[in-house]
Amino acid sequence: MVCITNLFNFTDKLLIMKLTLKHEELSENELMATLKHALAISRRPLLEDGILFIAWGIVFSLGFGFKYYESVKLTSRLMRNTFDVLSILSALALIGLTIYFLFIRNRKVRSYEAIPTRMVWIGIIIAHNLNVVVTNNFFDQVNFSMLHPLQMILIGFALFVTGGIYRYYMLSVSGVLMWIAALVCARYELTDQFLVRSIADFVCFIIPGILMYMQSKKTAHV
Amino acid sequence: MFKDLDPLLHSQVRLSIMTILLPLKSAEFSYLLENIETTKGNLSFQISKLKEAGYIQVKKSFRNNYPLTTLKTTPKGADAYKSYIEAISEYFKKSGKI
Repeated sequence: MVCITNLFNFTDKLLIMKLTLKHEELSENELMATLKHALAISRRPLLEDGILFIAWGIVFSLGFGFKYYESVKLTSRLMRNTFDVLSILSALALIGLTIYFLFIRNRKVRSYEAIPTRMVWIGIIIAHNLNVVVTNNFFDQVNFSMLHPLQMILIGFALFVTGGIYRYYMLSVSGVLMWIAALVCARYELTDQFLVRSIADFVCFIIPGILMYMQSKKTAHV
Repeated sequence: MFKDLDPLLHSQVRLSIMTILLPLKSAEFSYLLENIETTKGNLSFQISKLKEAGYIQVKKSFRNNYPLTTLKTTPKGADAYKSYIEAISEYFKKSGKI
């Protein structure tokens, strides 16, 4: 009796081992699909940064859009004051959102790409301000119609590099578009530069941001 | 003659774990569980196999009084994965799949 029980146990174990081995076997197609999906999953947290591109894009685009409107249309003092207050509030909200998104929220994943990307964008913000100081020192005044194209070149550079770091080449294309917009801007007066910059910010920040965010929310399991 | 495939990596769950972890600095257990179609128990089991082989590092801590398991690959794991991918690429190239 004991012998028969032992035999049953042994065959059970064999069956379990066989099933386990079968489960662990990988066909060529399964292997390729596993690698493809797993790589997509590891990239997904990076693409969540799309939300920041959308937020920055909206604030920039609306901000420059309103500046253009203000320049070409006669606006009331109340409207201008309201816009100034809204600009300050939206800038503060934007900085708050960025700090929360990058440093405070609980992230399940930490990537190597986050640090170089942050350094690129912090560098660009510093370079932006240094541009103002340097041109002020040279010309004893801030020439905004010259600064706009220069700042757009810097933003284009940041977008181009970020696209390379994230391997999300649509951002690099956005960088090139921003450079083209900078060249276009250089040919116009300050008023029209606002319009060009507003459109460029919409195309180069909001559109890729939405696509990045949508891609990050795609459910794919391995 | 094809190179031998690392049996430890030639499993769907373990290969997925390594492929997800390798480009990342670290990932939490819950992130892997959300993205790999398997049970909690099986995932823990496969993680322990990779840990025993020295392919991944597992750090246990607490966040807001809840246990938190964080994983990251080791240089040994990265080397093993690289060899595995090289072997598999060679196979695919010779068989005309890629």
